[in-house]
Amino acid sequence: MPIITNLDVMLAKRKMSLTELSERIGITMANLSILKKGKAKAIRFSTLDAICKVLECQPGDILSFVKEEDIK
Amino acid sequence: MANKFPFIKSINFVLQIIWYLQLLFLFALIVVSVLIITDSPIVDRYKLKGFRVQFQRINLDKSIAGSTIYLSNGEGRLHNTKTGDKFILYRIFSVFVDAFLYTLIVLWLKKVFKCLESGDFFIRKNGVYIKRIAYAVIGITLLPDLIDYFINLQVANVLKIDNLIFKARLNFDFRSLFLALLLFVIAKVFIKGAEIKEENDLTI
Repeated sequence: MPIITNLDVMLAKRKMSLTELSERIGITMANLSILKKGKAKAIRFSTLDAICKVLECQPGDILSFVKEEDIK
Repeated sequence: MANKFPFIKSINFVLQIIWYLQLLFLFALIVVSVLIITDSPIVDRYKLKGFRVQFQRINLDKSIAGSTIYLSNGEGRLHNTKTGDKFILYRIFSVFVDAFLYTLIVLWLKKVFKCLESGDFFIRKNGVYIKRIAYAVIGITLLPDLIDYFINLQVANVLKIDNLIFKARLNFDFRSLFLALLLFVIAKVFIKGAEIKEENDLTI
């Protein structure tokens, strides 16, 4: 899919672990892991809102569009 | 999870019994077929030479007060000691097709109910199995009847008997075909349900 998640980059920038993020936004590790690996098919606004609040960033910092040719 | 669905569990148990009975029947069918084909003395082939035929008209010899008497549009078993063995083989083939398709249906039903028992309702596998069952139901409805039709056609061509007119007619059970169509719809619902469930599971 051309939309990729940069959650791991943002976590590294904020020096935060996935476990801590999971605890602070109240989403299971399994679900966050799906999001981090880019296997998620959709993301709720409420989830995006919670992540942006905790990581103090914009949705565009977490999600980005990459052309399929560039992925290959 | 399994205790939540006692009805499905009991159906699963019944299906398991039917499955073993079906296997037993298949085994018996194979044994009897081999005995028939090898002309074993254990099986009396003479008794098997009677086979189901459809007739259009049987003219009765006797007439009452000058009027012609005849039977029409009936079905019965024709016994002829000189009938060729190929008709017996066709019948065995027809029974084999029937039994094989029934076995497949029971097998796939068993798999569907096993998934249901474990609480996995909307998974793609269930839809695929139900679709296969639908194809098997179509097969059961059409194939044995088609074989019977061709046997009757051959009987009508080979056996020429005075006062008797054979007929060959396709006797499809359209109710089964409608059931198969319904199964296709259910299969589609299951496959679509599995897709929606997957999408829902992967929405964070």
